Amino acid sequence: MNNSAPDPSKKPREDVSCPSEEPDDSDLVAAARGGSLEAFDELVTRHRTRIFAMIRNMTRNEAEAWDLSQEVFIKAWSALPRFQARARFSTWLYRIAHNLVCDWARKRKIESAGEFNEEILDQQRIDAASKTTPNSTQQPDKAMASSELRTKIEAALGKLSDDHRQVVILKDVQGIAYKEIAEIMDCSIGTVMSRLHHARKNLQTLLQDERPT
Amino acid sequence: MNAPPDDNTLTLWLDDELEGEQLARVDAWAAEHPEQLKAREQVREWRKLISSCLPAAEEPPAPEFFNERIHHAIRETAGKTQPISLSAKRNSSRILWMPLAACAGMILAFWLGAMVQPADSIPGASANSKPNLYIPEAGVDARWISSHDASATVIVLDGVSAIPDEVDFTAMALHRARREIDSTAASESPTPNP
Repeated sequence: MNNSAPDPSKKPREDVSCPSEEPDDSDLVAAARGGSLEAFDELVTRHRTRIFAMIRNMTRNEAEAWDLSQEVFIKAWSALPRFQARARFSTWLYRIAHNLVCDWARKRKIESAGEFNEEILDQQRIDAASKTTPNSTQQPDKAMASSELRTKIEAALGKLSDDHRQVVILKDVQGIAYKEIAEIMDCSIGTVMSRLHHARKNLQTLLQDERPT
Repeated sequence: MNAPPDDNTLTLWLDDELEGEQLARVDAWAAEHPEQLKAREQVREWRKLISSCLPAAEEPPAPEFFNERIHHAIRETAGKTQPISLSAKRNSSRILWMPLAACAGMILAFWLGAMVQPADSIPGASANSKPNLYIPEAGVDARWISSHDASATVIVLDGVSAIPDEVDFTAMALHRARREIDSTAASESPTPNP
């Protein structure tokens, strides 16, 4: 797990021996548009960690996140001819992911006919074991506090509306700029700012007693 | 004295999104407004707290299988979803012929089906030129029937135990063999068909 992984489309990866020779996203996208599955595979490998993390943070369900992340890339492949190079590939992927997660949440709410909130938001039903993998560099007590805090943050996030949760994840977790978030969520920068302001305020209220001293 | 920034610019400054001259201008203004400096510090602390608890990047379980499944889905729907090249667009008139071709294919398949007789009386069935069938499971009998006229080959396996419902053929089909040869044929003693 990497909390501060760089955006692969911005910087070359450190684990690559010749990062300067690595093609950037636009080259790979061009090759993929020409039908190269190898190039597309490289794009998947580059972006899967951030897309998966974003979706997992939204759905709080690893299996669903796994499936939905794959769907993002499958949709991206079929929509590649319509991809316009003026947008960043990562932004475009996030946008596909955003739409898929919205559809997923909508369907889920309909299917569970009102049980969605109880099932997803009930803190008592969160499987603590699934979120308590300690970071090896952390002290056990700190790791436990961190995992507990994560569980609480996730539970608090779950109490926000889908739009508010999404904007917090995109901004505060993924570190995406306002302008890009506006593109991803298909709204104005002002709307993003307003949503984030309210979402942060609500989250801070929910977490008031949970923040570490 | 510096003019106050508008709301959007101030929000961008609070979230450390300003650069260059714009940043310098708001920084100079904020130097006289300690409450704004404090607000920015709180936003920074907040982001640090959230990002320390929720990962921005996380490798999905079984990452190679993750990619492989995407490949599989793309291959399965290749006809519909493969990015369309310019040359493909030029030949898009072929698409108009596809329904006709599909209809003709269906009619041909129906006619062939109507012509096919029961297995034992398939005209041209090459029962005499049986290939060697290797059966990895004891007690299983295999018969091979080929009809040249029907362009069909049928392998009948008698005695194979029922396949459990939970077996995921999709997942099994995703494992790309490096060689075409079935590895089980080499690792287990084959039972040649008598």
